[in-house]
Amino acid sequence: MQTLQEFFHVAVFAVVAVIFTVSPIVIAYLLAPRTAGKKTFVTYECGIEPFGNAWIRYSVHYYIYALIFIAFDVDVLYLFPIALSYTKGGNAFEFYSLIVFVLILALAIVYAWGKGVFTWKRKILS
Amino acid sequence: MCDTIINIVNIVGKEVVRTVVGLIGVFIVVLGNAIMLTWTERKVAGHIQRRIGPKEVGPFGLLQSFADSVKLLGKELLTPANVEKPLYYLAPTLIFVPVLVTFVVIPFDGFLQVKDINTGILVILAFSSLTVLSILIGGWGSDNKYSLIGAVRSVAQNIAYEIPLLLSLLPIIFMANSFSLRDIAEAQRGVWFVVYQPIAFLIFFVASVAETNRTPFDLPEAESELVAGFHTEYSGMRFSLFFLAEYTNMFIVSAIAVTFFLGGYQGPVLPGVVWFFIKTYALVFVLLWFRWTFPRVRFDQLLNFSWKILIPVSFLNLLVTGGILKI
Amino acid sequence: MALATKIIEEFKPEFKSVDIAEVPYEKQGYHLAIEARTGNLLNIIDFLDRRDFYIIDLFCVDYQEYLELVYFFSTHRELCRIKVTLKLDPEKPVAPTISNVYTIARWYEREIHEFFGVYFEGHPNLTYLFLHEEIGHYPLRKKHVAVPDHDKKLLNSFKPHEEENSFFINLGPQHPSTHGVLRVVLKMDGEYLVSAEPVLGYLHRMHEKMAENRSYMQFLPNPARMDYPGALLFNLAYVEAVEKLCGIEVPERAKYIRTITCELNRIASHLLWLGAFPADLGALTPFMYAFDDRENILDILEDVTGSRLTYCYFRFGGLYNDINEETFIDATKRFIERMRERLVMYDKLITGNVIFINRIKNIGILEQGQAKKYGFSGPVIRSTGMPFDMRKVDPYAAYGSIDFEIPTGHIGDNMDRYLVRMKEIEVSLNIIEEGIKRLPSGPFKTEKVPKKLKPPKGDIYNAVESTRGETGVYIVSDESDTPYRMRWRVPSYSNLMTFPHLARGVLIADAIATLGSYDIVVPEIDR
Repeated sequence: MQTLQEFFHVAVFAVVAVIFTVSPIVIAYLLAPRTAGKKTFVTYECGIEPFGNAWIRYSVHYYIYALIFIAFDVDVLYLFPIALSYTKGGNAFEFYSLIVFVLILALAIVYAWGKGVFTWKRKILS
Repeated sequence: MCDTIINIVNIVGKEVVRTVVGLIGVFIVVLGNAIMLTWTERKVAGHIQRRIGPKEVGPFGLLQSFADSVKLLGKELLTPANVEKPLYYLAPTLIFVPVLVTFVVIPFDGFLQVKDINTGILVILAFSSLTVLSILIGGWGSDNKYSLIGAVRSVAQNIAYEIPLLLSLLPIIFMANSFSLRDIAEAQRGVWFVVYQPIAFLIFFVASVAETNRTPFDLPEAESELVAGFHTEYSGMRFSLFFLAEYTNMFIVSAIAVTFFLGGYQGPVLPGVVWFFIKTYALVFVLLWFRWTFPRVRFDQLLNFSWKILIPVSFLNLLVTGGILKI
Repeated sequence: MALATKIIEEFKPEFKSVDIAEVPYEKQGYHLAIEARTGNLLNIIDFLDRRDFYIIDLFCVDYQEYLELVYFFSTHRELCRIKVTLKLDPEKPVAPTISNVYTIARWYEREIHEFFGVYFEGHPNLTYLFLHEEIGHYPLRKKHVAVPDHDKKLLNSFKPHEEENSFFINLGPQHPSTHGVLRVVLKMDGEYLVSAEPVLGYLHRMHEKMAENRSYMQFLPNPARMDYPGALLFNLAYVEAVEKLCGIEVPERAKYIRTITCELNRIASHLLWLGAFPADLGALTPFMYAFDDRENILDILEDVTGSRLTYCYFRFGGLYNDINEETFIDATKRFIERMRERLVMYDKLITGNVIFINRIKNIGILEQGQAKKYGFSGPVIRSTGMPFDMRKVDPYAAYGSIDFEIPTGHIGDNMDRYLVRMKEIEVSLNIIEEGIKRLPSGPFKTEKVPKKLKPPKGDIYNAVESTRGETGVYIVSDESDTPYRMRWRVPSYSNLMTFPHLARGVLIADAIATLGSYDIVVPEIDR
């Protein structure tokens, strides 16, 4: 009940957002002129017909960043409950566990840094 | 049994009124903000570049944005032939959901808040990741290589800057022990958190510039490289929805920064809501200032700046905060 | 002319049967003429390559009974222009390629191929560079020669499905950072560029052909349309070439005014670039600042020339009209003062910006050794540390009597190109100041110039330092009142062609920065 009540607004706002975006498009659809030139609907690629389509194998050189991110993001989320129950003064154990947690997390960056993930070299393929 | 139903009806009724009023208020803010901000952006850009900016439509060109929105309504809705239609149509809609939902939890004043959800900041963070999703599907669905590159960049950029964003908010939560935005604003009744956490504030602000895709971190739409990036194929009203979302996002990140670091609606003499808007627009102005002053960073610089500097520094900041709290 | 004599001495024993002749430089603008044959061309090229000659230009002239390939060479250290000619059979024109020695010849040869139908044996990629598929003949041939069908297939050389991991993308012609309508086909691997290949011709107006159908006077406004930001300098290159060809004397005063106005134009052009370059990096504000200053120059030049962009101020034997002693000199002096202050401001606004520095430092490094292969010139070559400037090497107008320094860079990266241009603005201000100080009185044009120019038979090459580098005009005259052939050697062409080399394997953002640092002007490349 409590949760439902809390997120009732969120749900309503999300739905309204959808309606809100659809309505101007509908208005524009009714108002706007329509053209149908020979090349009106060609994909824009600086005025030249593109070579093939865009659904290609795209080599993402920064995918390792994404890997670190996943490890990181999940772990950082654990810090949120910690933050909520972190007490002021006394109970030094909390602080030590925080240090241990953050240091382990930081190792991920040190590791990636050492592995050279963060250096981008000029790539010359024969 | 009867009691329960009445209870539910009561609660729902109250909530419905609250929601409707909230929605109207939020719409006024969203649309007013977009209209004011397009005008301000052009005016600020004009004066930074030693020109006047818009001046023809209305006094000081104030009605320029109205004229523009009417024009955009009348623009043809082009759908290129090769697009993946469901994705292409969905993207501008999806980008607006997080924008509007975020407003639920932002406290404009002590009581001017749609709903003080006790996990408020989590709602904001969770929904803001939807933005990048819509950019990705918009870029992917466009069947345009420039859009694709822009979309992929956007994902990498957003995930790189989400972590410093989270980490810079954490010290505040450590200090306030609450996820509720109103509690956090209330906790700054005496001293603003920016005094205790200047580094976290800077990190948050830099990360939020990146999250909103503004210069110098506007790589997903870098016009000198990718023409218009992920929204290359969008025109007319669909394009302006992206545009609207960008301007509202600028407002939102500034509003969150104000709530977390600059005392929220707190301030002497004037009513809280006025203070809130003054502070928020001061930060928005800084965003505009950035845009018209800085060149764009390169992509590796962008990612590495986050991973090499922002994240380690925010870790340190977190540890120092944790340590000081224990003293 | 020590070098020319030395070359003759070394050349004769090595090539006994080849004609080498000394040519009156004052009349024809080059020192030596060598007549090569298909068999020994490559040996001659090799001979010149060993002596550090760079290729200025390579083009073709159609003499009807034979086609003549003309190779122009010179050195960066000392001016010694050598014209190597190669006669070809007009029915079956085939020549060996020199692109393995001089890389820039790759593009020159493609150009000759599509305009004259000359085939180059061993050329790696003899495809069309300028023209589109509708052109059914070779435009610069004097007689109609149809394009054979198999040549039309050479139009598109990009195969998108060749490799799995890379894809092709068009950068331009309608792209914010190609400054006009340049098209570069990029082969990309994610964010990285595998290769980049410029495709030209989207602003091709065939000025060279136009020249063959107009009298010398009628062609006068055309050069300004090639390089619109630096119109006066192209105007000067043409006017001086015709003056030399016809032996017209120019009064001293006209020479000085030419120098002053040209330098003003150079500053205006550099300011245009100064606006556009940060815009390529995402900073849009400097553009407005630079245009503000540029506007001042345009006002000054408008007063004397009558136009604001495509000036046509110089005439054979002098100028269109005299400057107004008071207003022009006053306005110029005021501008110099203002510009010096503004340069300090630009230093603070742009040069010191951390993002700006990080974006362009050590990016797009062009080595000095490449200069020979590509023949690039202007600020691009000076950024590599080589003080090569036509104003010094081959002084024209009043540059011979004005002392000025040549700013050079160190490593030839984008930062150096930026700094060299900024320094050049300063140097130009000094030149203008010096020129105004020394401005002699007297007539501003020669009286004896005939209305209808009929230059004597012969050819001439004349070069000036335009804002982008060595701009040369080669004119062949057949005693009629129209040029038989006019060839423009434009600096942006050879500057741009280093882009494929610099863009290989870099991020797209760096490639764009490099492209912006060249200060290319597409109408000039396309002609």
